[in-house]
Amino acid sequence: MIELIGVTKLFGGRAAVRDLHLTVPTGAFCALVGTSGCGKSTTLRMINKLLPHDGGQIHIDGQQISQFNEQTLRRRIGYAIQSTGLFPHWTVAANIGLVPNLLGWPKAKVQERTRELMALLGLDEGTFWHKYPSQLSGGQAQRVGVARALAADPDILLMDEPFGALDPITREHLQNEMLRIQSRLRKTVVFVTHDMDEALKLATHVGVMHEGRLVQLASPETLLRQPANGYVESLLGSQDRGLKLAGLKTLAEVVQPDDKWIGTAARGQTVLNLSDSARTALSAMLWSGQNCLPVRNEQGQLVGEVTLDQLCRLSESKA
Amino acid sequence: MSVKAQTNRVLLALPFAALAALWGLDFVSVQPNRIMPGTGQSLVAALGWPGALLLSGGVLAILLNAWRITSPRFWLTLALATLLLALLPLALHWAAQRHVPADQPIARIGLGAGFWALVFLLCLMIIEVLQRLRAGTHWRLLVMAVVLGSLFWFISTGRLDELALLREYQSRSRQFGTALRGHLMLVGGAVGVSLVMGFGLAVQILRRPSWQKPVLGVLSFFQTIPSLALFGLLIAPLSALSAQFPWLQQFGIRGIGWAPAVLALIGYSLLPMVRNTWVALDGVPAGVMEAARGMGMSPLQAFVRVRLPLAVPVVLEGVRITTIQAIGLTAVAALIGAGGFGTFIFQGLGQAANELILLGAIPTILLALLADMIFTALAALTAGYRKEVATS
Repeated sequence: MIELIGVTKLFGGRAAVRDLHLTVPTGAFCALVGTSGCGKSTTLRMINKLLPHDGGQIHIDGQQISQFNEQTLRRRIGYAIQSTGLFPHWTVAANIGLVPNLLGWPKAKVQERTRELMALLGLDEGTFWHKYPSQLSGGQAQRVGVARALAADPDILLMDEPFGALDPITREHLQNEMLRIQSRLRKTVVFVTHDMDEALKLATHVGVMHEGRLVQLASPETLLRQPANGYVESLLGSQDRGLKLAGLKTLAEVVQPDDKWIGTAARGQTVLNLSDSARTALSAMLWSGQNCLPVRNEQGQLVGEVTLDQLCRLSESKA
Repeated sequence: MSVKAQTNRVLLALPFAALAALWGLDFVSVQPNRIMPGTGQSLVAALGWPGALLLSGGVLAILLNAWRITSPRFWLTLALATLLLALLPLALHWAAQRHVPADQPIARIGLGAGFWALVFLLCLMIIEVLQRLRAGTHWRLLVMAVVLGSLFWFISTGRLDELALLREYQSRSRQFGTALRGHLMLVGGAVGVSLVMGFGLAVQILRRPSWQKPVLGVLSFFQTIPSLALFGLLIAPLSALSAQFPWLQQFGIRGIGWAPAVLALIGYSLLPMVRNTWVALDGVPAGVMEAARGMGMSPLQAFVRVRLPLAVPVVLEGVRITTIQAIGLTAVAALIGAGGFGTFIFQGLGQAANELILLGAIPTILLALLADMIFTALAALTAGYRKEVATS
């Protein structure tokens, strides 16, 4: 658990972060969103003491970070930044093994862990072990960056716009990987981004920052339904809020699986999955011109259908 | 790396000029002894028709090859030019055999304008081809090694003993050894000290950016003082110092000799050393250093394991420039009695003996080339992770 209590950071007399209160429960994925200069990166870098804080307290698992030695603290916290942070003169394997080596793990254990992480991030060992960062694509380099952050199995992961420099397709791919990894590892993550869609997609807690203050901290759904002020609303984009909300819901929350469907064949061309979002379902309806589409489960069996009415009610329900 | 087939005008003009120089200027001169002026010998007179035609044929082949030249034929030109350069000592050996009878141990062969023009133009051709081919460092080193290797083989087997240059060497072989040692020690001392001092200053500038302007300003000022003047200016304070503390003289610290020379050389060496080292250390991407700290490296670990190794290739570039500059400047330091190859140059100037000047000048140039080779190779070696990018 990470707690920031009334934290302030001054840069030359100007407050970059003002009286910030933020609690990230263990296992939560907290995204800090805001325009550049809003203090989100500064906040992140105070947590691992890359920047000292000028006021307030920062606790990790109940202990003040000022009690920790800088290096000891950082080795306990995973840290991932844009791919530029890889060491260009070290191979992929050496980059990933950095923190375990700093911690003095035995060589064999470091190698084993590096292998594990390369497998976890879909990096083929034979291809990438001896490669240098300059030989990697942006997406591959970023995978190495995430693997390096996870190497010593830290409880806490700090990520500073890790996918910021990637093209949209690679970025989405890595976001999905991140969701998959997080569902397995359940780390406490603080993730800085300027991309609201990325935050809504990945986070359990979204913190919106503006001019050094935390304007709102809420779950993605609450944020969409009840933005605290006009600034948050403008970040969410008022026009397609409905779609973003629909993007948070899966059809599993809408459709009651019914055994009577099992065994029947789908009539139309378009069949949805239970894991698809309501947004995907809406899009499919617009595209196919039908207001009712069949849904199947992970095994590919039909389990029900979803109607346009149901989807509309979904967005209204708790308004 | 394919080069479009079009005529290369440089490779057309250079061999043309080389042919004109070969046939229009004296190739060598023959002197009966050290004092008598030499008589110039044309290419045919020097080498005889077979030799003259062989040499001209090689140059002509390069000229013809320039017509609608393609990538593989650039390699042919490179091979031809390197071969000609490497075989020039053989041409001199032939000329000596024709013109210096074995029973005249003081007769000698001087190098003529035609010979020097050919050497110079062949070097230009090689540079042009290497640039067109975008050939890597290792090709440059290979060409140098072939040419220098051939030269040293001809010298060490005594086949060039009749050259005036080597006659001068034979009568001064012991002084030559002393001069070489003196030159190397002056350069090595100055570069070594300035590397240590320069590194310290560069690290300080990196830590305190406000130091950058004053430090580089003072060092730039040193560079503007003419070397001759600086050597001279140091005589007075060092004389005074050694007069005040006579025990300093035991270590050779006097107004003249190695002490003022090394001081002046360090003064000149600091600017390129500090500037390159600072640029190298400062040029390490901020993201990389941030990651190093963020991962939990101590400041010392981050410096030694990340910043320094990434900076080494550029630091070595600074050492290379500094060393070459110091090798040249040391030749001037002979004026204040510091020794080195400059001794021969100034003796030769005094006696109007061209070959003696060359005996000082050529080893100085060779030393500079050798230093260039060594540091270029080292820099390429330490930047190995970058080279892999080019080949992938």
